Amino acid sequence: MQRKNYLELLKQSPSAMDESLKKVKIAILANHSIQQFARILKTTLRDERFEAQVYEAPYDSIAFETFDETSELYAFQPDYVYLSFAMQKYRERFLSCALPQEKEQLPSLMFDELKQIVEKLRSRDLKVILAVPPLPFERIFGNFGAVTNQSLYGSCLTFNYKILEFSRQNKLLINDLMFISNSVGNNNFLDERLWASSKYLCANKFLPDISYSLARVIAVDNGVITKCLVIDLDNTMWGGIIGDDGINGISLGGDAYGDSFLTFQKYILSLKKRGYILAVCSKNTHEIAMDAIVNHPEMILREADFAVIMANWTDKASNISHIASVLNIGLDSIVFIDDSPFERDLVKTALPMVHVPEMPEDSSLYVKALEDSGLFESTNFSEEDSSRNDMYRVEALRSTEKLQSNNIEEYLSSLEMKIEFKSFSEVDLPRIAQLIQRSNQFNLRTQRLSEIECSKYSKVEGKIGLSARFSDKFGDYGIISAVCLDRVEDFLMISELVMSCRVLKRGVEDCLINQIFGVCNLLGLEGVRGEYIPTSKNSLVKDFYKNFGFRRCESNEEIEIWHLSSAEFTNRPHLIEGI
Amino acid sequence: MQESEIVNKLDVIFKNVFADESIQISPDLTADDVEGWDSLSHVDMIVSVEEEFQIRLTTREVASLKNVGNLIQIIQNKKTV
Repeated sequence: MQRKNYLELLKQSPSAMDESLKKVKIAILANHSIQQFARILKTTLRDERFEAQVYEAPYDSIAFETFDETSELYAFQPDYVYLSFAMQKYRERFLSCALPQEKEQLPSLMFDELKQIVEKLRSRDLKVILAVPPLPFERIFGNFGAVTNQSLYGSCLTFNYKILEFSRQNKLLINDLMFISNSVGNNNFLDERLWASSKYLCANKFLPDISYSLARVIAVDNGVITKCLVIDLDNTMWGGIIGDDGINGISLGGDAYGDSFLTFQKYILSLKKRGYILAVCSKNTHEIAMDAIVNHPEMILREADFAVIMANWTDKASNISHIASVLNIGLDSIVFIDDSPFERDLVKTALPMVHVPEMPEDSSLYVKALEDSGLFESTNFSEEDSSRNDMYRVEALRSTEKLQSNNIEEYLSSLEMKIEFKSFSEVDLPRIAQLIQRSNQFNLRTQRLSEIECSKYSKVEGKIGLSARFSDKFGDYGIISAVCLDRVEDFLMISELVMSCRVLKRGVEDCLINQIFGVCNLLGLEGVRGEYIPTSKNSLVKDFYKNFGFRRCESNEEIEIWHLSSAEFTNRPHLIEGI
Repeated sequence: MQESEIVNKLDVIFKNVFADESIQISPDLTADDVEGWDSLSHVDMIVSVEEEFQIRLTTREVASLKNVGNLIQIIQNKKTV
């Protein structure tokens, strides 16, 4: 979900009630200004699918509203009372202490006042959410300020710890403003001028952070929680692509880059222990994916850590739907984690209720991105949570269901895919050779041609090289396919054809075959002949020729020979624009 | 900074903060002239001005503002160093 800024949230403040959303009544008791906050709270709760009615108690009337049985607070009958004590008000009391003993006692005194308020509200069966105040910058003792109640900073620290301990023991919900202030920087969060002039708790631009945080607490308290992480493998759990790089070629541990993925896996493991169900959704052959998960020495997460492992070539939206039905959980309780903007966008479009956090390019920032998403909010923890994934895993092993295919045609045509075919040029040769040497899966003959051998396909009569450059609205993918064609008697022979698995099943295969037959017709040849040489890694393309209508000729166990005359070939439709 | 550039930027800010497309920036424009301009949105406007022009107004300067003309003057002073 895109976070909106302060002014945007203010503008969107709803006036009419949306009857279809779940209603919630929140009373705000504070000793600082709350009008703008109350307005944007309604908008952020709408984003969480709640229709909020907010009661704003008059400024600095917390005690009156709480201890007067006939107050508007009780008449309002709120579902939640949000209590927010300004650190700046605490400061006023602190500065008015005449003697050191008074300062020493202040945190306990202030806490007792707060405790009485909370206990009174709870005795009236009201649910309290307590704001944990931000810390001040006034230490007056430098570093020593942290360990003495004679320092405002130390005094507030003591006060905050009392609040946290009280919340832990009494299972009170909290809204941690201290965390928010630390994250954005105290210097930015606190604003003396705004406090002096208008009694604002903080700079307005951070009211959205406070509001989103409170909205998450309320949502989770109402059972709107995420339960399952569906995670991609390549470039998410490790660096590189297992199908192309092999188990020894992927980055996992070893150096800084590889370590970032270890850190990420450890974080995911801790989420599992916190109670999340883990699932894998990867575009890979099942055997190859499992080989890495089971056998790579550095893997933190192993087969037993996942309730479901989906490694296949079907689109991820269909896979996620399948995972949801196998685990018997709602799509809205799933968080999908994938490094690829293409996959994230596809899932967001096809399954809008699935949560899809944006992931940064740098793998060392993955953990922070997930933390910032706010999707792991919780209000409790019990030891049973740790075994939740295992329970789901056992259940999943028992049930199987057919995959339902989602219609992704509409999505593909919105991608603005473009392809450009060129003959092999000097500049492109290194990349072309790399593709031919490294591709294992989408590789028909696995002829590891050297750069020199490739260059013949741009120099020698009767040898034609084609390279394909692909781009879509997400960016330029560079050269993703290379084809080596040889003119043999009156037909065109596909001596090599490789494609990067990153662009699978989007129509590139169709463009390639169209282009090949285009060359065939240009040369006035009868048809196209190709071979499929099976290896342990290229079963992905075993039906390549068959799918395009080729007929199988003589073959033995090691080589399959296929043929299609150009008279029988018709151009394949696809959604890619040729340049 | 040229006064015209300041006026253009203020125009965008005022229309956005006070949610009023009909606002015309002029030196004697005050809060009385604009319906959506109250003490709350006044603060939002000041903060937006500070962010847009990358300046800080002192508490005194904020208190001294009587009309938009004052504001333009202050911005001009701060942007001519």
